[in-house]
Amino acid sequence: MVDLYPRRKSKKLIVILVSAIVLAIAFGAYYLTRDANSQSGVNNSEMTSSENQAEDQEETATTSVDQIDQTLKDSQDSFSAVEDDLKNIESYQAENDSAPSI
Amino acid sequence: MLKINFTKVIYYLSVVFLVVLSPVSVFAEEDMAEAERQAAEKNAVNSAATTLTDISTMSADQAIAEYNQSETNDRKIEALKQAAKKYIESRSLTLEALKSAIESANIDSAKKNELSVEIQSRITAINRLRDEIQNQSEIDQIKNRIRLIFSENNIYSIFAPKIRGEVAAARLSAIAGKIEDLKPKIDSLLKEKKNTGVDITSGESALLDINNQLKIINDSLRISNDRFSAITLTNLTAAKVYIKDGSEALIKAKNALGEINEDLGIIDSL
Repeated sequence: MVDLYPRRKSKKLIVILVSAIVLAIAFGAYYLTRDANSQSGVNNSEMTSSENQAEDQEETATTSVDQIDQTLKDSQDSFSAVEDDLKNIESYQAENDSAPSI
Repeated sequence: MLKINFTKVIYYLSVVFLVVLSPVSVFAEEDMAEAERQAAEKNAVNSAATTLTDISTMSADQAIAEYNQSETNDRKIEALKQAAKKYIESRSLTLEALKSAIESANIDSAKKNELSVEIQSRITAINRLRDEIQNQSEIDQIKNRIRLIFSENNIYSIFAPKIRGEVAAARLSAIAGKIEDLKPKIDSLLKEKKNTGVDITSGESALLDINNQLKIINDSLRISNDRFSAITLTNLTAAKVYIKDGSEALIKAKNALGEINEDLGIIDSL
């Protein structure tokens, strides 16, 4: 049989080829971008982890200082309270606790 | 001419004075003495009336004096009851104050409950005695119960000092526990400071001293707990010795806590 429309076929082929190339470029671009993003994510997470570690250390140090402050305050309060207890022991004993002569 | 003999005139005047005025002064003195006697009687009556009316507002000592002076049974009973009321009132106030002090104390809750229960049972015991005394009409029964306020309870000489000693020991024990828990944190803080170039020599010495002082506190608390728990309310002689020993141990522990406070201050300032 004689091909009556040879130019139409070649046009179709060109369209298919161009579409395939465009798609390939689009996919390639997508994967390249994705890899770049994931690599950048890894770097970011590495940075966050070291920053967090530094922050944690700083936080631990602050917590320790706060706890020392609080314990010192509690200890000073206890010291005064014990001093009062000892004074009270003396004052109780100074009271007359003997039965009257009846 | 009339010749005046001044010597005679003076003589007669003296006689007249002695005869007429002396009795007057004697009567006046008698009047004054009588007035004074009447005033004294009036005062005595007023005083007696005051004693009778004020018996319910007398202090314990006044009521006991009233009991010793009174001649009637009713007044003796009233005076004894008033004395008992006052003895118990002051002891109840002391026990209530002790209870409040324990409720607000920063100590282990089990120890807090234990001491509160002990105080409450003492309050109940003396309140029961108070009711028994107020309901009694026999002088001897009242007197016996008044003696029990002292011999069975010994609130001032044994009970309150014992409880206060135990509270002080519990306070010291609680804070020593907190400081013990803090030691690893102090240690890591000092290491961190050292890594940043801070000279931590004084901090290390302070931490070492904290360890030593904690040992003194714990050793002293063992002695004071031992002494205070051995106290019984009915053996005054032994109780006095235990209270003295226990208090001395508490003073030693308190002084060690003072040293720790200085050490914590040094670490805090690094």
